[in-house]
Amino acid sequence: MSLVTFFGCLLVAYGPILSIFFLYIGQNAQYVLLMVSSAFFCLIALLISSVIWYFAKAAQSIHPASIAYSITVQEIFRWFFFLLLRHSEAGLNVVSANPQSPFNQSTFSFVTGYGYALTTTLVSYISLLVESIGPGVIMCPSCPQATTFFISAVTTTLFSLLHIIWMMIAFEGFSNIRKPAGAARVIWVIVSHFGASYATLLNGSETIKYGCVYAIIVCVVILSISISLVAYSLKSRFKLAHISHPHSS
Amino acid sequence: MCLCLFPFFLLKIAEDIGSSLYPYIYTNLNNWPCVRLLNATNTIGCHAPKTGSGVLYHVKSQNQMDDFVAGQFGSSDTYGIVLGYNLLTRDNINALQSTGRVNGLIVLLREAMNQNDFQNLHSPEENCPNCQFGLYADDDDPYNWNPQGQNLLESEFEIPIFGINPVNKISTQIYNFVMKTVEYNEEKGYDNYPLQAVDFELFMWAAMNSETCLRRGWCEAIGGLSVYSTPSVDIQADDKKTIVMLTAGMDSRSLFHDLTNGAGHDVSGLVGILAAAEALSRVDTTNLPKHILYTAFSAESWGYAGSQRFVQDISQPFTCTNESRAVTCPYGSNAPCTNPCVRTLDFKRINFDQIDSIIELGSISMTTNGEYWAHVDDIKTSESLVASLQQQQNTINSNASIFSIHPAYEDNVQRKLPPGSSTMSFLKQKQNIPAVVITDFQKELGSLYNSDLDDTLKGLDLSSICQLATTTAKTTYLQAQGNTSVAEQITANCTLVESLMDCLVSNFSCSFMQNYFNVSGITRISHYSSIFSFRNPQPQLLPRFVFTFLADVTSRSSPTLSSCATIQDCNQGEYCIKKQCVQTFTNYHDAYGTGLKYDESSGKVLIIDSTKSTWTESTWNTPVFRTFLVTSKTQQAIELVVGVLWTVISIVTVFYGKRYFKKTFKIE
Repeated sequence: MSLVTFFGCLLVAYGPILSIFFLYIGQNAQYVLLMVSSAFFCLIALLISSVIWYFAKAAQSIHPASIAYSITVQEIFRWFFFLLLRHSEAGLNVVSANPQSPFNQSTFSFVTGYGYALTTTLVSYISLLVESIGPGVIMCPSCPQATTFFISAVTTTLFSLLHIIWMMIAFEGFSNIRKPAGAARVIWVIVSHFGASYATLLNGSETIKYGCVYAIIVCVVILSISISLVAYSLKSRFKLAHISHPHSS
Repeated sequence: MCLCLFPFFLLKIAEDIGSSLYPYIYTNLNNWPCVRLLNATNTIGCHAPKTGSGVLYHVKSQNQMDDFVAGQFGSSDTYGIVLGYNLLTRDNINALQSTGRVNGLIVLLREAMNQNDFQNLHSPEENCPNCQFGLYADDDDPYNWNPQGQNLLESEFEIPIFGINPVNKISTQIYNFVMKTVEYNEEKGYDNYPLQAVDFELFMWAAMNSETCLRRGWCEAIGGLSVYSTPSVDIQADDKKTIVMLTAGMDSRSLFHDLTNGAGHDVSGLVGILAAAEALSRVDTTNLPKHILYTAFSAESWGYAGSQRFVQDISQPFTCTNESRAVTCPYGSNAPCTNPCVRTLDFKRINFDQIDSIIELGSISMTTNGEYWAHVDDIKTSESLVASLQQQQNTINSNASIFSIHPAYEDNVQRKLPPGSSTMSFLKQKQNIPAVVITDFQKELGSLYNSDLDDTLKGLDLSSICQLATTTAKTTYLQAQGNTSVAEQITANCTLVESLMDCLVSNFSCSFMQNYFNVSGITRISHYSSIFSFRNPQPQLLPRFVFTFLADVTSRSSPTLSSCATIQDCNQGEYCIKKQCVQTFTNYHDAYGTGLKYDESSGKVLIIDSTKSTWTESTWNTPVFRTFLVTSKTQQAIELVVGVLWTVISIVTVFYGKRYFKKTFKIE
């Protein structure tokens, strides 16, 4: 019954994505548009990475190298989208539900992050998911009891959450880039992106036993740290808002 | 190399740009399947649309088989069973099919079997093969020629059956791979997942019966090309000379058509008459009072298609209508007649009523103590022919080995002609022709009759074949002439017999074959007659060889005596054999069931007589069997449960998160 595997992996990989879309983003047209644009930017980033991969024939099987230039391109495009958003922020705010809200930027960065998450997860996992419909499986080299489909699904779902959070942190960092706090945020995003991606190399390692567990732990740790960063900045913004507008309802 | 990483860029292995993951999960294996055949009433063989997956399990003994059938092995999983040919019995197959836990069979053939598995073999044929098309179809109590026959060849199977025989490089690779996966499962103890599994796809397009599938275009008539030849190049139907016939069957039958060999039955008989023809070519046979005719019939296993059609065509008048056709005649504008389209009209020069006697060589390679048996239909008619054979046998100086011919009715039981005798087709038309069929069995067809294991020269008695060929040649000469002194000089070439057997059974690219064809790289050829193409009838390798060989031994040199490289270098009506232009009376003749008729005006094949052979073969998609890893059902269920839980958690989180943010931060 390989369809069972298919649905299981589908839900594991795309559970958060589906629920966020249907319960949050899909209910607001502005968010959908924003999401599509950021997804498009991510797609361009991936396209450029693939072109580089195609031409860099010597490095095609050296995965660390591919990860390096891929992440670099994605981060650059993150910055491009931030620039684009900054130009259009005024207009976006006017059309938004609550134009004065200080949390608009967080919302926009959340939605942007979701666009990135959608593209990367779709592009990376769909082909593997489709193969899981058939009766055959590939076992994960570092965790031979689990299938590649399942471990990849877990990695995918973690990365979807990570991309959303990274975008929120990155936007905060880009808007305060001259301050050390802002720069630190940007650096955190880049470093943790590299860290999480290189950690997934452990999934495929045949020498490190339970490499897939280590990879998942690394990703979860990075996710937790990032979420607490975001929570902290949201709280401070909230406090700021309440100090300046004590009578807001 | 693991592919379970990097959700950042396309998951591809460097060398396989644009390819899918399929080759890393599944291994497709090239294979030899059992296919679906149809006749006037039903279908036989295998048909299976895509099956589910089954864990590979090698059953090595009958005890293991019984345990499996009884359910004492394995959980409720489905299994793909690997077994040796000796375990492929009627009872086992029925039992396996009825368990409902078998998705297909992979059968190990000769080179893949253990030595001790060869002890208890049974013929897969039915008790009286082709008897409903033979001379004794209307007999009340026909003799049971194959009492231990498993009746597999005429059965319809619900599960797909594939065969493995490591006879060449690819099949050896496949065999090694399958054995490796089976051992992997064994080491894991069949309950320690992941395990290697197999699934099959063996889709046959035809269904129901020949008439239906021919109408729908999903099947083709089974047939081939028979060869007939005579040293009397100027034979005519009205030259008042009678004909002595030497005949043998040219095709064989078994469960796996790509591997059909039939070394004993019937290649040995064919080799016998080829050697006899060669022996007779060394004396003058053109000025004898009677003609000698050599015939090798194709598609005999399929209701005597070749011999019956030949008899039909030479005994009925031929009318050429030259009406319009649906498809152009494949023999081009030089064809003597375009409707019905025929290659040559030479068969009209053979007068059926002039056939004076028939000697047929059947399975002649597995003698006990060099004994051969002469079967006849009617003792009175044919006993003089048997006596002549015995007389010639006595003249052979056989100090090398014992050799004898006995009448099969020596024990006062008249079993009449055995199945597989092309002679029956002639006697059906005219029962009082003296005719003898010589075989190496007296009472039973034997355990290798139509078996896939009849493919070895080991244990075959080649020197007796040689002596039988000599005896047959001498008898034939005497039947045609009556001059005993000349008959003394006729001896078959025993090296020729060995070469022929070797070439036709094991290695078609042997050095002997290079005299006739420039062929390399072909070792085993299939002796299944395959399908008959009406649009472009090309002779298969075996008929082509028989044609060339007989043309060579019955030829007379061209009056212009030119050497040649191809047939184009010779005059019209001549052939280029062994680089010489020669004249010969050797031809092909169409062989397909006489219950079928090719309607030239519509281009379709119709059934005209369902009591005669109407065999067709289904068209099929590429048969696939592939191996892959599978996980246990428990693990799959866990994956699903985890997925559902995770999705529920995320839905709940998003829902409450929205509410919290709305309340606290006043964000929508």
